[in-house]
Amino acid sequence: MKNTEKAWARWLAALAVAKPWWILCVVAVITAVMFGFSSKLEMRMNWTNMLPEKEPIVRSYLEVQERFGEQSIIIALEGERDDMVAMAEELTPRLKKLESLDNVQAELPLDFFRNHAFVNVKPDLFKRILDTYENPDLVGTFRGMNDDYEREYTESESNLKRDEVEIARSLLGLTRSLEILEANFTGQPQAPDIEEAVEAMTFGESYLLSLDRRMLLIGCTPKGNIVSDIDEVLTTVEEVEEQVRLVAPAHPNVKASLTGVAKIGLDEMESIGFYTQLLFLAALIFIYLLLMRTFRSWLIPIFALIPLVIGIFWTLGVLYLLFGGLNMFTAMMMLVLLGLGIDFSIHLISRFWEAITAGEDVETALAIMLGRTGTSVLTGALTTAFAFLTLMIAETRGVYEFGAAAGLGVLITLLAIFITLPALLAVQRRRFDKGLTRRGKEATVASELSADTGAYNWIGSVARAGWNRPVLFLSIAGILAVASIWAMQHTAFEYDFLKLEPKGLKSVALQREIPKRFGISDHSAWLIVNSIEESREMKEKLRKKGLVGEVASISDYIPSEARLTEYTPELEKFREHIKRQELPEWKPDDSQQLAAELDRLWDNLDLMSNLAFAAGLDRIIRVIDELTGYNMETNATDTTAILPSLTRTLYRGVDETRARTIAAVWGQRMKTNLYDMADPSQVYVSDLPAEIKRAHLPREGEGILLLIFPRKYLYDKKNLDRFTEQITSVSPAISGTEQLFVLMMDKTLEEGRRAAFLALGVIALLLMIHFRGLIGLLALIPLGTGSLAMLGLMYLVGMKYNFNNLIAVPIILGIGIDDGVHALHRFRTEVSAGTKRIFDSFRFVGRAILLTSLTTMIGFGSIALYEHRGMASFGQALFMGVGACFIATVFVLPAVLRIVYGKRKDIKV
Amino acid sequence: MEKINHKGRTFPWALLLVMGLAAGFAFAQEDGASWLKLIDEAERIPHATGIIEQTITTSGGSERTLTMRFWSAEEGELSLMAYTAPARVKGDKILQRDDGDNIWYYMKRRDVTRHFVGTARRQSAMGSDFSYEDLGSGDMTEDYTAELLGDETLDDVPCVKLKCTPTESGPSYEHIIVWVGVEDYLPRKIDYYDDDGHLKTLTLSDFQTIEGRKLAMRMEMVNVREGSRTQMVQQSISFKDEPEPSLFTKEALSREIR
Repeated sequence: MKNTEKAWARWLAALAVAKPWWILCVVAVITAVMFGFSSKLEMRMNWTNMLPEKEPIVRSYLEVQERFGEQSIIIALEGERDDMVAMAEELTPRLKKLESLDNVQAELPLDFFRNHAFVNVKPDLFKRILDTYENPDLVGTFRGMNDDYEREYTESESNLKRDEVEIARSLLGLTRSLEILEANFTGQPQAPDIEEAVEAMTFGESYLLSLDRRMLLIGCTPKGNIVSDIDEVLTTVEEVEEQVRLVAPAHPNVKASLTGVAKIGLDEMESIGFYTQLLFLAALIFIYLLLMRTFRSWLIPIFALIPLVIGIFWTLGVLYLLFGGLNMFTAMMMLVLLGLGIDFSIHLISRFWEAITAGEDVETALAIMLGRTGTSVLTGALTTAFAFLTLMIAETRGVYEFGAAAGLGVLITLLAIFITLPALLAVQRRRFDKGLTRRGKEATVASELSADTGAYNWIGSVARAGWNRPVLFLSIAGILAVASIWAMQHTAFEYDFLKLEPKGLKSVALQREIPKRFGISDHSAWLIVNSIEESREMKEKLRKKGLVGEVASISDYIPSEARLTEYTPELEKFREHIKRQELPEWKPDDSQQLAAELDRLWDNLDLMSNLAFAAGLDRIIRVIDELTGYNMETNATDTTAILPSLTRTLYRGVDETRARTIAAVWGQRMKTNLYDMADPSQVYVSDLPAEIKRAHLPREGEGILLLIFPRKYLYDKKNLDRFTEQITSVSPAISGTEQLFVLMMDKTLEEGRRAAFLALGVIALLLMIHFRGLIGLLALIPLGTGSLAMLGLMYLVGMKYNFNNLIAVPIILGIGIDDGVHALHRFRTEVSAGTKRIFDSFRFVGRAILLTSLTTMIGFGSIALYEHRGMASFGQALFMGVGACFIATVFVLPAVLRIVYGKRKDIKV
Repeated sequence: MEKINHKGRTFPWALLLVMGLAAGFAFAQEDGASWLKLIDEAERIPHATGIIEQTITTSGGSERTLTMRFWSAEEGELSLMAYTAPARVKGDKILQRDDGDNIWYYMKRRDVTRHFVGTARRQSAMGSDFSYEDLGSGDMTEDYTAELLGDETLDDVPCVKLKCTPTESGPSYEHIIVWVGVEDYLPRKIDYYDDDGHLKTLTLSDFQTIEGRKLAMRMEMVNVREGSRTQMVQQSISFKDEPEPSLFTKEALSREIR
């Protein structure tokens, strides 16, 4: 047979036959180099690595990361209060020695507060505090506290809401103080010093404790930037983990765990990296077995898979050169290409065997394979690649990189197949011919390597039914399409980004636990301001917003000149009063008076907790309930809780000598503390403790960072939007994690939609070119039906849209079109007529598109098994989408063809 | 029994003020003062008892539902609320006298009664978006001067729109805007303004006729600044039996009410 194939195909075939080993050696060298590159790929598995960098919010986020760093490693200690504090005291100095950490925030800088507490008190609290502490003796302190509570908090929750942060913190200190007092009044051995009770009363708990005081947090800010130096930050996480491991054995009653953006990133990388490779291998084996069964040969699948795997390594190498790493989307590339690229190999190998079986020599068979099937495979690959490349219009980095990676990946894989497969086939044929000679017996190619050339009649029968009853089939398809449109509009959006993280990650579970235990979200919005006064002003405005739980500002530590001028005379007067005050002697009935004050405190706290309950001030409720022992679930009071217990102890009577000592130490220490705290000296930035400076001041340049924490972990659009609305009403320049997540979702939706329309346009154009007319657009009908069915199925199985699965829509357009194209192509080239024509064309083409759909579904199906739930949902959506497109092609296209071709007698072949 | 101050009304009488207004409007009056007078005439209900369900949605998004029984007498001068759910506040009571100048809170869990001073009037009532002042809104003609702003239709109900400015002894708001139905003379909506602008909006709905009196069974107060809201649904109400005067005393707070 004369070789009339295209010149490039003839040339490539001749080269493969003449120098197969040379080609394979060159391929091996390139693959080795690319493998080397691919092994250097960074796994950037956090969603923050995929943000649209042009957006102002993202730029602000990146600026904060660069200039201030982020507290991206959180150490959570769980256990009894004293055990946790002991561990924190040992761990913190070790952490501070780590070169890779910029800041460690564990204990409050008490020495700073001791000397500058009252000048930093808000005006509305200032007078109250001076009144409260007018009498520093033991009974007087509690009386002053009760008077203040009754003036401010027991009539309405308005003031509770205003002072929620201060109240919760001071009540934690009060709890500690009462515990120490009880230990001393009852003469417990090793009771902490009374001085410590005074410190707790005046400064609150020195460590960041949860509301139930069973969790303690230490925040670490790495020097590295989590966006640009992910490897460095992950190494820091490992160093911190190492320190925790070293300290842990000495504290067996404390459970230490890590969380934070960096730790979750490390866990994700470890989970995804290993799991991806495992699933890739599983998918490879599964596809091999499927092909082996279909082609009834163990060799063909190997020929199909080797060039494909080579192509995948080339792609990963190119991705390293282009992007340096893989993000959450591009990490799935191996499996996406495995599912897609195998189709190219299958089509080419089938054509090669067909030519060989027909008696062609190897070179001619290769030329036919490349020139004929290769051209149509190239067209199909270009369609898919263009559909992927449309995603490059996205500003969202994750989507952009995925579009580029998948588009280029398809083309690179095809190139690898075009170069490698002919050489492999040439080598195999040479060895086969030698084997024949050596065995000295006749054998046909078909007997040695026979692909199953049979047809799937059942697919033909289904298609024939559609052809015979087009109205029925199209009606059903129409109903399903309408139902799917309804469903896609009613599918909810997932705004809880922790729900997209891998299942079972301890760091994720801890991240969710912290807001519940502390009554405040652990991640923040931020604002860079120009001055301390601006920081103060912003804080006051932000505190009034309902969803704002706390604002961390440098102005908390530096009073304004005006405030200092106003406070100074009062403070000097107060200091003089404290200095001159004689502490009253402890009298025999003072224990009863103290008990009465604690009883009164109990009344006040219970009343406050009821008001806080109605107002939803959970932090206050929980701390008070811990103190009073009230259990809201059982509506019972645990009388062993500290407040009932100490009150009871005092009512029963205490050892007078011991009580006298306690009262004397308390009064003296309280006097000293109050005198120091009332120091009216100005505070300058240079006076601030290092950890506070590092938390609010930039590493270089100007600006002050203000951190705004939401009242709770926000995970629904309504509250995310409300929080954004509330904080941006104070300053439009405020950005935050919540806004970033909403932006990520909105952008993916918007860009996914744009890319889908663009992909549809490109596909329509290519179809019209390929089929030389509008008739090509018929292939869009099963694609549209299948894509809608995918969205309908997502609703049906209870999936929510997230930024991972939203890009499945433009992708399914690129992949799903193949079925329609092949089916339409085969139908148009079928020479028979009527029902026979539809039956014959579909029973043959049906088998091919079923096989390629199955291999693609295996690829996406393996992604569907990812532990990372966001990525898994992407795989699940496309698994259903590819299946739906196949079914739509077999069920819907014949009915459409009947409408279009049913009455036409002339058939263009 | 203590002397009753007839200046105003207290909770839950105040609920009736906003729910059951204006049944006796004999003819339409075009000036604001006349409207206020007629509103006051319409709201004089001798006594009432009932059950209210209050749902508070805080600005933080959490939701609390509290149920309470209420009694009012002396044309609203005396009122008592007793919480029946949830368990945390069950048995707690709020007694109001003298137009909210005297408020007592009884907490069953600690068997303690606290007296709130007059300043509490302006603060929110038990975590809700209603202040004691809103609930005991007093005599409209004494508390406000009104200006007729015009006609407006709210939810297909033709209304007159009044701008009411507090008198010297009136509430703490800068002004309120009231929409009153021109056919049944019942208010449909009230916007509350303070010095910083629009603060809250009260919406009244689900109007029903109970024992011959038409009133709103549902009220919702939205704090537009903080985003919190409080919905009060009248589960039952009766105007037949007059509560015992002894019910409205501080001493009675600690006693069980059958």
